[in-house]
Amino acid sequence: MSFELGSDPELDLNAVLLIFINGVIQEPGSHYQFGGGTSFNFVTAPKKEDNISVFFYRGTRGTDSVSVEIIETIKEGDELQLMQFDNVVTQNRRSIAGIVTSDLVETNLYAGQGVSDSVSRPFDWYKQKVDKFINNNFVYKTRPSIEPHVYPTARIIGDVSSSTGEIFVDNAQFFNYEENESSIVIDAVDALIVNGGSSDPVAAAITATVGTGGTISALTITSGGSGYVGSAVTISLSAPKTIGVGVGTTASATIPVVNGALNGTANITNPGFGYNASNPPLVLSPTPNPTFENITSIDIVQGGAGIVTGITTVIGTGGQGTLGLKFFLNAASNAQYSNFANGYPIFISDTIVGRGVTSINNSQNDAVVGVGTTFVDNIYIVRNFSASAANAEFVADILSTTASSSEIPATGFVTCGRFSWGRLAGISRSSSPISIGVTGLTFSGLSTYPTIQRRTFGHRDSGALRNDLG
Amino acid sequence: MAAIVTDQFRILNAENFVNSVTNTSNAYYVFVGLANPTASGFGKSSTWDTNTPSPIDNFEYQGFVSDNMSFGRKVTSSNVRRVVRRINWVQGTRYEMYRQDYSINSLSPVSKSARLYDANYYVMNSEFKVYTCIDNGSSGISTTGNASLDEPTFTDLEPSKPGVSGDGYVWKFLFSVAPSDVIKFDSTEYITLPNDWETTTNAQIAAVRDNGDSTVNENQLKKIYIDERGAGYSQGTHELDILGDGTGGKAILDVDALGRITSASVSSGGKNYSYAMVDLGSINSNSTTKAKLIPIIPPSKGHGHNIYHELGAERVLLYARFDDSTKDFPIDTTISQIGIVKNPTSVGSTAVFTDNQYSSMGAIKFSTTSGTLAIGDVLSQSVTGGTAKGFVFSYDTETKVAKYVQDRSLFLNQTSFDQTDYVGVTTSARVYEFASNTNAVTSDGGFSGTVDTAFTGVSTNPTGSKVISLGVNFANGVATPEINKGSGDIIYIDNRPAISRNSRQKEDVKIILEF
Repeated sequence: MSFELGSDPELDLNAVLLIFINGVIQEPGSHYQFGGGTSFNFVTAPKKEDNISVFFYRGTRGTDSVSVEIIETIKEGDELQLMQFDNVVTQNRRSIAGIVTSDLVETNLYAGQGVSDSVSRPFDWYKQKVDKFINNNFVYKTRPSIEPHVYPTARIIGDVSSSTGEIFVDNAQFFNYEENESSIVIDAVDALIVNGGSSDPVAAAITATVGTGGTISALTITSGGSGYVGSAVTISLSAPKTIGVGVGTTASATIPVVNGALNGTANITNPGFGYNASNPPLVLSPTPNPTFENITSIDIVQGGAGIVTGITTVIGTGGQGTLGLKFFLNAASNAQYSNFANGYPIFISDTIVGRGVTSINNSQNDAVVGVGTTFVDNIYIVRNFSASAANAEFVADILSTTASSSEIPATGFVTCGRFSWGRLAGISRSSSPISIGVTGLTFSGLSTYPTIQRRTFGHRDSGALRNDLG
Repeated sequence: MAAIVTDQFRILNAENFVNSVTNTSNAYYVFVGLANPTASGFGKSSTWDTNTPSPIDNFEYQGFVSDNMSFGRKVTSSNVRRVVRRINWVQGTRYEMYRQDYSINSLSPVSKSARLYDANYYVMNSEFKVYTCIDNGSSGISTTGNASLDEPTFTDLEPSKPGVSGDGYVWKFLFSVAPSDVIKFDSTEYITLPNDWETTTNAQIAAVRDNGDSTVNENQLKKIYIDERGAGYSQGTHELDILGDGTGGKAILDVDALGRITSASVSSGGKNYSYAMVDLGSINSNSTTKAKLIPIIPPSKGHGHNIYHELGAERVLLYARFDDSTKDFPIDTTISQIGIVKNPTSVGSTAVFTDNQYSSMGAIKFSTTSGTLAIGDVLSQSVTGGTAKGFVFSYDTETKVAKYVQDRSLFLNQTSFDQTDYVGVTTSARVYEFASNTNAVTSDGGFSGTVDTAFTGVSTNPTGSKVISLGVNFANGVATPEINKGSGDIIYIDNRPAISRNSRQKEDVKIILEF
């Protein structure tokens, strides 16, 4: 933590700081000196066992004060070496003993060669390679910049419209890791949604033919690629060797898209000229952009997980003639069902009965939610939910043709599956919100479902889990 | 005493590391472990989560890490990428143009960087497309150039203007980050570069790469920087040769009525230049102020030919996902150490282990149990010669499989957790394996279980309805770790606050290595 002033010369840090030692307020200027940065200089050194409290009045956050996450480069224990410049010779290396402010470091005392207080000089920076003992403290060579980023990530299991403020996922608890594991309060997090990615589009390979006069006479598709969208793609050709008036111009063309691949006859919109038939231009066929959205201000994170202790067939919520599955759940505590509600999607996995059922949404004209393929693993829409302490149950509507009571006996097992659910809400959408449809997909695991990954909070403000919970 | 290691050496090291990872004779794994960091013991701390100790770089600590290793995920070629510092395109920002001559004596004009790779001369746009800045409208008159107003979104082989604002920018499209790489490798600090740029047959990359090969296409030079426009040069538009150690380059200059060079563009890029100057000899007979035109020399053979050199790829990012897709990754355990190990060997062998994941915990399958097991409990069993001991790292009530490690903390002096002598050292400090026998396996938490000595194999069917793969092979109810303890080189260790796993939780681990 470093306190630093803005550019207003009237700002006075001492006016917004209160320091107590063992409950006794300290007077700035008399008991301590502070001009900003990371340390206070007390007139009388506090004792090791003293209880020191520092209060900083921030005023209106974002207006009177801002907190900035510094992406650290240089750290305590690194070495600096001032280099030769303007006839001042190179110094020996010095160890950094402290980071005073965001642009000032303190090193060991130095009385060697190359000292000058009038010449600004370049310096070399050497990262710490061994653990050190500096100012009575161990300074390890660990570096925040190379600490692993562990990202909370989930699969989206409910449709996302361009205007929705909530997203349902298979597991959301990890998005709230710091709050779940410590006293840290998370006001809100951001997230990146990516749709697709299980199979990348493949760029088409195209060759150009240069005809008489140095113009493009044909474009040959040697491989149509995949993943293209729209009716045609504008391709790019490299420029002729020489560009200029009366010398050469770059050709352009479009190629039809058929079933996601480039196919058919190219429409050469400009044949260019100045090309060489023995060295024809290269052709670039751009593939579609990833479908993604950065969403912000997720301030509601809900979810839970546990085991399925029983599964049985029941009459669906549509009444006689409809079919449903009743799931019995058990979790570590009823907190796993906190805020869980009818109409939410839930992910059921690792089941051991049935042979693939199609789940439907009774409130949407029996629209298919997921076409299951293995046992009764699937995404279901929750109906008739009730919970009692660590146990709960709900009914999910299914297509009556995809299950029978003989395959799904009414008796349960200690563990006959797992459940999880998650809801991220309070979301602010981006200026280009995307829509994602997941209902109706054939369900064979979630690997083809869209992904959401936490951003902005945590380690280096990246969205990864904090590496300290203190 | 005037030697340097160049940035290219670091880029080479990054390349060598990636090649080592993708070499099929090697096997790199991201591993996790230490399920009980707050217990008493060697290397542990009751305040681990709030004051996490730094790992120590010595062989003893690496042994401790091996003791507590739980499981690992192989880093495949699709899970390792070179990365560069992320610079997002933001409207109104002043970017720098690529130049070959940034140095301490010639700082980049905006970020004041002493080297190219610290300058802001490339961007990633909002569609994950990456561009090099060929021109930012700067000159000797306006060295910092203009604020960028038009976001580059085009996908062209040739450098292009991004819009019609007239901001003076010209960008060169390099590549698009693949959708599958976005979740794996995207971070707020780095841009992911495609693998195998020099050799890939990916049509889009190959087109950009081959187009940048000026030895074939004679299109090396793209920009001439007007450092000093001079005066007294012959008015008009002139096409002049570009001299230097290359050939074929030509420039088109516009000279105004005062004889000042007002624009300079490349009409033919030529090839093989490492330095160049425009031949002004035919128009300078009346010059009163000498012009200085600096042809910008692209990296490698041309822009886009080798993005690792062009963008300064001296970092590598490894990705591993731990989820509930295999019983090797139990969902009830805790993680507080993450690391990378190279070439661990298969248990009982000297051959490198090469499977996609491994379990480095021992395992016991019980036939009958009473009581409960918690993570960190100490398991014990009477075996021939003494007592086997291990810390529980996982217990699956569905399959009745407990996974454990035999951490040195169980065998050292139980007060100091070092080599200080203690009563009973002869038996208590000796490491015994859990055995397939009828002796009960008990825990300090009141659990008792009988080893399922009849069980041999890798899968079980506890309900009779579904076969469950246990991930490791059991022989008469016990299973060894899949890798030899202590084998392989641990090249990276991170201690971190404990992460409790659970069903459907996915830990996407991204590790940055700097060279």
